[in-house]
Amino acid sequence: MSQKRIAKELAELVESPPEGIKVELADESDLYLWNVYMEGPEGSPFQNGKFLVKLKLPTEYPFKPPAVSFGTKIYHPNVTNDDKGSMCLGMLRPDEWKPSSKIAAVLQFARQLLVEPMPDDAVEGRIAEQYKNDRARYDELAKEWTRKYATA
Amino acid sequence: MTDTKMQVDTPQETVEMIKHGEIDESLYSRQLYVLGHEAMKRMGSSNVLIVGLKGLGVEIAKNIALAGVKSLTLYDPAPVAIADLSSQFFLQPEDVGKPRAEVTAPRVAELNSYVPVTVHEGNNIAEDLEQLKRYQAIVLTLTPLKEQLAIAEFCHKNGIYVTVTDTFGLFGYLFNDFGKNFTVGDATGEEAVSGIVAGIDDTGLVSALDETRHGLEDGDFVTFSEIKGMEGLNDSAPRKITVKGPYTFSIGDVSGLGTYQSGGLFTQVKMPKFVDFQSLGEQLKTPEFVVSDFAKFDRPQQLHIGVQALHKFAENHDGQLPRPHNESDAQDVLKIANDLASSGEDKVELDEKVMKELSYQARGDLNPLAALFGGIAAQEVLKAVSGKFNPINQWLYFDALEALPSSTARSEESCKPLGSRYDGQIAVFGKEFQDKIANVTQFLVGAGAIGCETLKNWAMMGLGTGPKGKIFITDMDQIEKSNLNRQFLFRTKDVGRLKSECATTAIQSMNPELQGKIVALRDRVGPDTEHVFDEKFWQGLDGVTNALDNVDARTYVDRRCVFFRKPLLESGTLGTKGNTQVVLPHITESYSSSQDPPEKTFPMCTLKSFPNRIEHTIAWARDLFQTYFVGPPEAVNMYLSQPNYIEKTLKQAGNEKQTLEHLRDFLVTDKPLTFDDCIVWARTQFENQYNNAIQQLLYNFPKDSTTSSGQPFWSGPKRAPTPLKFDSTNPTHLGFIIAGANLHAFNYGIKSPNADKEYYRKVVDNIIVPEFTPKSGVKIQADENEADPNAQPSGSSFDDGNELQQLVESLPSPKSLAGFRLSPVEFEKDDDTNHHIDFITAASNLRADNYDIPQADRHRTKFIAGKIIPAIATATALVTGLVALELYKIIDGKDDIEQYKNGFVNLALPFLGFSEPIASPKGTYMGKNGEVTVDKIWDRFEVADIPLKDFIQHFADLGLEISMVSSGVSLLYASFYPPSKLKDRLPMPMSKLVEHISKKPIPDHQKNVIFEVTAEDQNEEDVEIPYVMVTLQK
Repeated sequence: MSQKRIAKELAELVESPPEGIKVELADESDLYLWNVYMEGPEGSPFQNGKFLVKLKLPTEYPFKPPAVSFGTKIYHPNVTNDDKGSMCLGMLRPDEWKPSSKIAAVLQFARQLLVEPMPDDAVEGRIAEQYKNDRARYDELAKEWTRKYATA
Repeated sequence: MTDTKMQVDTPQETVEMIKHGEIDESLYSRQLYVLGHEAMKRMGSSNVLIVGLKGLGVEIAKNIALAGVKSLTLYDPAPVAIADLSSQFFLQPEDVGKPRAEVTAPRVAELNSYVPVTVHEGNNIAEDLEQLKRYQAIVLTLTPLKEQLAIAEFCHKNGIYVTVTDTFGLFGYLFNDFGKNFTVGDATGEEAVSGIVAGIDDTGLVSALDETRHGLEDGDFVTFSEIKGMEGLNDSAPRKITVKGPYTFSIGDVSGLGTYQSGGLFTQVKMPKFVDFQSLGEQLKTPEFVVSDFAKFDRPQQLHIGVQALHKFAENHDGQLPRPHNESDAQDVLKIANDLASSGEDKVELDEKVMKELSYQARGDLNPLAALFGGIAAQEVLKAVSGKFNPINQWLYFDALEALPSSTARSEESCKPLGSRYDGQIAVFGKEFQDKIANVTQFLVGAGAIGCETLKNWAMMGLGTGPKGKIFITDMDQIEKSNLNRQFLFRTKDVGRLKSECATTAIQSMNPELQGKIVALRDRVGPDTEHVFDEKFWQGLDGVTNALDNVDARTYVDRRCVFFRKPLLESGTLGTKGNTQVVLPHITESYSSSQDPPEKTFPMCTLKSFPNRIEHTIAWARDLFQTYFVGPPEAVNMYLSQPNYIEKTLKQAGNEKQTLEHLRDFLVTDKPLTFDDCIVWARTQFENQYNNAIQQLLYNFPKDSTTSSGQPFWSGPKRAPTPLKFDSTNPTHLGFIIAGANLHAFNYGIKSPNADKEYYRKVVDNIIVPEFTPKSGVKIQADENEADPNAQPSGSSFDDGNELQQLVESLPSPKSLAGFRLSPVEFEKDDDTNHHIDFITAASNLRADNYDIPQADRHRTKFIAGKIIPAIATATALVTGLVALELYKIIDGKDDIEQYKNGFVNLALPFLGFSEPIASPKGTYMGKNGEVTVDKIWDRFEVADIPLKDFIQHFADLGLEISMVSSGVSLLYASFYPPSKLKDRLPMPMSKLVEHISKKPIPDHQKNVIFEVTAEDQNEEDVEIPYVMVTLQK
């Protein structure tokens, strides 16, 4: 059943993509792996960056949430600074996910997070601490990483 | 006995019991997670007597022997008759004439070497009641009512638990008398719930944090801890609660306790419950029923009288029950029943048809009923002797009259005994139906617990024994010791043998007519084995019975059954719970139509920094196990064996540094030469995980820090951690070192010296561990000294290009290490000497100490980390009995959905529930010639292997505008694709298109391909239409 719902959401996102977001299958041979290209929002230190966000849909979708991870390195309190680039926030948590949620909403949520990090739910404590106490340095480093990793 | 004692198994106590051989944990492992140590210990001191050894008696004996009691005694001096073989799986044709109990006892004894099985001597058990005092629990089957009364009365007075049970054809009943003031220690067996308190108001209303369901029920008891304000609630006596909503409950009066400020946890406490049972005599007059099927809510009263009428009939006829399908006997029974009904207090209006069926079938002996009641009755005995779970209070009646065949006629002639082993079944269904059963071809997927019981049922039913009959069994597993406690076709000597083959041999000796009728296979059923289970194989089946233990395999078999349109019988158990489902082509929905709740997973950030339950620390410890002993050794081996491994790693978009660091650590920095080096490594890891990482976290989020909204940061689900100071006299600390050192040594093939704890302590106390200083801010550290003890545990450092190069350069070349390989650890939960569960237990408990979460012992940690599915033979036997009843209906060819039943059972509560299967969903679309109705599951479109453009046109002709086409997980066509992309695809035949996109050839044995299509109909609405099957030209 999940296939049809995923196909439908894909069609919607391709035909009318949300702002700053472009979606495609990583490979047409797998409907469950999506590549999302996300532009760093204006006014955020990620501006002018283009981030690859990987979306992995579970076979139980929509009963289980998609897994969202950054394929481009990013300096952000809510994204793990490891080879996984994982995030865990609000609607993406298994216990808070609702099958009625849509992938478009997930992606908009992820992009909004670039504008407004949530340091209280940080996965990178040190970045969170810096974000709260030394915003200037945070902005500087986030910009530097964006320039280094997120501009082709 | 206090209530908390009942559920808490202290690790020391467990260790002692295992040491003294009181509980063989490797044998009873899965059942221990159902019953607990305490209940099993009580069972281990109980002597049980089973009276009557036909099919039902032997089922009960089997289940109790497997479960484990102090001793099991059997009583049945009657000679074996050939008809007994209809359900008594431990009897052979050559036993005819010998006393039943005597021939059965040694065969039951083989099931469990810890349970001695003997025969109770004597010719009439009711005549010498005094000797019953040897037993704690007695089960009566095949016992005349007068004797039941005498024995049950004696038991009632002498504190002996008694259960009476019998089956008559498709009817069965059970009665319990566990005496006055019987104590139920744990009524449900459900885990005690706990949660975080968000608030308590001055009326005593407690709210759970973050709208988390508290999971409590009215009348439950809870205790509190860590509450600020209202401190009086902490560690006070358990408070009884009233549920006010899913997130709130009331604890009543809280006056004088002050005002709630913050924090707090609630924990459910299981309180013992007391039940007064009445004697059989009283209960015959004023029965208390447990309803088994709400569709037949007035049936218990009817059967209560009917069964008494049968006993009365037998009394009048020299102990003989009414003859099969004999009209005059049935009239007799009806008359007796009517007399009983009119003499009772409530005048019951009898259903003549039911009474007559009871009489017709009284001599019937069906194995499915024996399996069902054998499971129920054995669980009742275990409840009696252990005090675990709520007993049946006091009568249970059941019937499965829907299973009577309608495709074949029944008459006195067709139901009369033929001197065959199936006479018990023929008495109910007639000879003609017996022939139908014999000529069925069934496929059993799995030969585990459900598989063994199912095969036994089939052997007794004579399924597949006819000229056109056949049974296919497949299972890729070999027999393990922990299987023997439920999978009763296997013995200790069979450990290591293939399940399907061993089970085949076992049931062929149970019913020799199965010789040459069984094909045992060893292939996992799945996409990879479609050349084995090919089209021809599936076409040849009449039906499929699943005996699987995982959702993926179930879903796969379900899909195949839908595709080949074969009926499927599905079942599963979880502890004392069981469910059964019937899937019928064109009639019901399929297994995959309903969704089991997905496996519970935890948010990564909870695991990483904010655990608040032991489940979180166990999941974290399981990850740590992987990070230490599995991942890096695998990476090292790849580095050493794949020439371009580094290049590939550097190309990874993520954090390649971590992989490189692991290689460096495992090949250079941390590479041990001696076992002592492994101890040093383990000690360093302790410091990193339980001291340094915690210090760093507290540096970033000090205990008094606040969130952006001004709330304390460390509150609610975020528990403030405390760093641990290593102490070699603390058993958990040392346990981490011992398990960690041994596993690290295993990676390097360094032999463990099998040293005692003193040795580890001595080594570890001499290690100098550098002081840690938390880091401020974040630097991109290019020049950091690699060996810096302040370095973060890997995974959160920040890198730079030239550092990566330095890392690569620090690695020894694969050539210089020719032949050198590490041994990654393969997680195995059931080997108690391999340190795996020891490591996870210690690692989890240390983290629990960091966060002040109560520790879990090794047993519980193993349960959670190993994702062990608790299991007990009683529930398994029961579900297979229910499944076999549905199989009768399928063989009969019933197409009326109302005759079928899906079952939901929980033996602990106890609860039996049935529902009619859900009909397959229908849909409509507006076609060119009006509205078309389709069965969304069983219908399909069939087209030849035509080009994509013709495919699209084909549907357009039907009035369906295709927007997307997929096959498997490949997306083949979407209407939004640009023409340039479609140009090449449109002329491709569908099969080529699939191969082109999936980049995989269609295997030779595959004769068709399935496509999923989304489309708009003539009303321009998205419609859900069935799948499309494209037949390949081969």
